Amino acid sequence: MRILLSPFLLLSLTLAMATPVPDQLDAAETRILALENAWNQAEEHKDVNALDSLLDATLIYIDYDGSVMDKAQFMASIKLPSLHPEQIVNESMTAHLYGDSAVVTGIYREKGEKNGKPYLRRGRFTDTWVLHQGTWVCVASQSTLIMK
Amino acid sequence: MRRHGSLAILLCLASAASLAQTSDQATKSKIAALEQLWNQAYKSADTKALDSILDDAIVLVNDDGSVQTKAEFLASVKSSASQPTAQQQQVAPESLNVEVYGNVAIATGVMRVKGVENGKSYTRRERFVDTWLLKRGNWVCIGTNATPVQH
Repeated sequence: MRILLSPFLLLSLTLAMATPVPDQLDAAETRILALENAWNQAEEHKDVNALDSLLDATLIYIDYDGSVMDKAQFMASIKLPSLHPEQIVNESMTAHLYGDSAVVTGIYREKGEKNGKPYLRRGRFTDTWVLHQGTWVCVASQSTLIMK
Repeated sequence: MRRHGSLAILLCLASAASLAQTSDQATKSKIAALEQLWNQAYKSADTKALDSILDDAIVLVNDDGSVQTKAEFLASVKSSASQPTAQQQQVAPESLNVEVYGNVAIATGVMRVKGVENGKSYTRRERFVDTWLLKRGNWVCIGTNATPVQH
């Protein structure tokens, strides 16, 4: 009996370890979506310390105008005294989980003032997150204005 | 003896780091080849080839902010092939950079797209980010986004 059970138990354990249970998936999804909201809040308040913890050192950031920034450049752009974001909200978000990585897509709306001029933008974003040493960090972010 | 042990550990670490670097380099080459395959398949409307490199759950964000599923994208490629007036005639990569994070790779670059739409020719430059995932031994794209370069 013991001999018969062992391979079965071994297989069950292997499967259990290899396949994330739904609760774990839900928790990771909830966590990542919360991080997306935290990102918006940090940008609104120009909180670079909070942003620093969300973004991987190798971050690649593609802005709505097609310009590309690394993490240091992106952080510097947030701190610009001429930029005053009033509101950054996500209208919708969907997280696609793939083990230790996730792709989040959604629609954001941002309004504020830059160089004394008001702006209002609505775009689609794609963020790629990876679980790095137990912490989710964003490694790539891109936004595209919605034309239609 | 202790010194020899430390040396052995250092050698092991160095060789592990070197192996990881070689592996990352191999992945970068593989992803670059897949990006090239994607462009070729797109130009020749080879939906079978596209099907093999795009994950079923891929999210495609186009340069106008519209979003497509894999099925919608493949259908649009097929439809473009039968309507030459709407087809993008040339997709030329200007630059490509790949970063590897274990079983995930991020490809970024600039693409020059030439084509004809409603009888009018256009040329535009787009910056893209493609997210690739190693799934059951094969690299598949799970997310792609294009943004027109305005400057």
